[in-house]
Amino acid sequence: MVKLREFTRNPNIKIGLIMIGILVLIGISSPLISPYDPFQQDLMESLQPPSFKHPFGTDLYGRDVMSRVIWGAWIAIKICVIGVGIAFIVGNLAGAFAGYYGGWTDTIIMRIVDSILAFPFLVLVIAIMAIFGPGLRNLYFAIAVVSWCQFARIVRSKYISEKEADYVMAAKAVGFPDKRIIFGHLLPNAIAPTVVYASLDCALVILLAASLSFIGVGAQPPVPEWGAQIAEGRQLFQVAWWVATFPALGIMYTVIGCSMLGDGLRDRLAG
Amino acid sequence: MDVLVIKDLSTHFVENKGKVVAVDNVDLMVKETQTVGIVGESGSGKSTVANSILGILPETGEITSGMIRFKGEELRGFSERQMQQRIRGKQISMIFQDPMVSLNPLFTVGTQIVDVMKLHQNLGVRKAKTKAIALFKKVGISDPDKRFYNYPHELSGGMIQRVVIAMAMSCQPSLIIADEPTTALDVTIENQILNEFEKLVTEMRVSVLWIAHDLGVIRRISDYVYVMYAGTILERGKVEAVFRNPLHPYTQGLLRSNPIYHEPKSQIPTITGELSKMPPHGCCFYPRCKIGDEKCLDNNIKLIKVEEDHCVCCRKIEVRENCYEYE
Repeated sequence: MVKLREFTRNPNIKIGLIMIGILVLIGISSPLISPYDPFQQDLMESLQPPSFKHPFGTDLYGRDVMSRVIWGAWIAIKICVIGVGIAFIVGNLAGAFAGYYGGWTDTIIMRIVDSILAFPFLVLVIAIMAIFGPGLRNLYFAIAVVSWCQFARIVRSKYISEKEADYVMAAKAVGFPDKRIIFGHLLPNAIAPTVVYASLDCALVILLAASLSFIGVGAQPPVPEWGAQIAEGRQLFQVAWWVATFPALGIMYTVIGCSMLGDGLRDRLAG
Repeated sequence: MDVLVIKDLSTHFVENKGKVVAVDNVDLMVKETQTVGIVGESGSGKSTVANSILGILPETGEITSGMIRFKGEELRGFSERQMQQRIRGKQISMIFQDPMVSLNPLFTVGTQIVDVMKLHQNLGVRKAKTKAIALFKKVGISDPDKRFYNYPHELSGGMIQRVVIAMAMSCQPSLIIADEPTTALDVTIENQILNEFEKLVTEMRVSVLWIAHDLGVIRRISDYVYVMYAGTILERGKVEAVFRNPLHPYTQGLLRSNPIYHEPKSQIPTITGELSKMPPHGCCFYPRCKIGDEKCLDNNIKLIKVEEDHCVCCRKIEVRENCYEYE
């Protein structure tokens, strides 16, 4: 196996890993390190500018923005892990079957993929959220529904090019069943580009989740989701810039971290 | 006893432009402990015969007629699952042409051979490993304990081909199909591997179907030889008979173009033309044949028996007075 040190020699991977690492640490320890309860309202402290007491200021209801941004990190991580995780698994399975078997299996799976991709991304997600109702749990699901397609496409093309390889013929000739060939022999050889895409997709998914929450179909108040926070701070931007800015910086930080990691992994794995 | 009997095998490939006949009514037989060679140029359908036997044709390929009987059982009647569990790798194993790509690049050679043994024999990992290392030693791999943990890219082509041979032997098959296993290797390594292979084959009493385009290798390793051209068998016979007295103009041409039998720097005779255009019926070799005439195209030509264990597919064979004398 390739050692971690070989990976971190790439500066993009190094910086990306550090950034994501810090985010994960903050997310996991959010109950410990957040200075206030993110849901605790204190109307006397409403819209306080950043100070020593409230480093990121407070919002309309007097909640500490820093605590809410820190809790938002945990939600962002959950969205990435669950949303992208489901998409990764479903996309890999679907793409593997489509690519390996070809024919009807391929046609059916890829037409489903095409029809999902034919919808404008946001419209489809809004539709799903409208059907199942807003909320975090449905947000994961909606994100998975739209993003497994790209995984399936990547995996399928990889399987198609890889299945004619001699080692696959050899595996068939020694009598390995299809299941073993698909998952034991081909998957390890085909998974690298999807790992790369997964980390890039995390960036997209965080933006998507924030957009959905911003327009009001994603996480609902008082959940401290970054997009929802920006939506809350939007009207107040003239009087209290800090309410929307700090969650936005949180999004930016996470997206940059994921993109750098993804770019680095692409150079290292897929190149 | 006959290990493998193939009768009237035809395999087609369906391409965009239409149907391509890769194997056309081929009869073939491999007896117990016999090594049978198939020789022919690229594209003559040798590998397709091999893949048809194991049922691992690509999606576009299809066996349209014929019978493949292995140890008295009809393989075409077997389900995919039966083939996987009973035939492939267990009773019939295959060695591929290019050693550098016939192993999975992501696993050590040890893992891969142990996987194969675990698949077909009820062996624990430790037992399989001891057996694998013993096999590695047998096929001439030095330092087998260390090589066991190497990845394919860490080994040379010759080494990997030895590993593949060890893998093919690992489940004591009755038949090994070797699809040009030494073509990608240089001559010294080829020689070593042929030596070890011959030794192992006699020791394990296994039958071999050896596919090659190198007549020297075929002459050395096999007992019986089939000369294949454009999906059909043009000549077959005991190796000594065919090499002593080649009857088909194609076989003669192949032998004549061997550089060993010519002065250095002299022009080596070739078979003109190429294997692409085929007449709709009649002799498939006619467009490149020097002695053929129009009548060769009239009807399909059958193999004719010339002497004991030596048949040829050419209607000129009776009328020709001067057979080409070998050497």
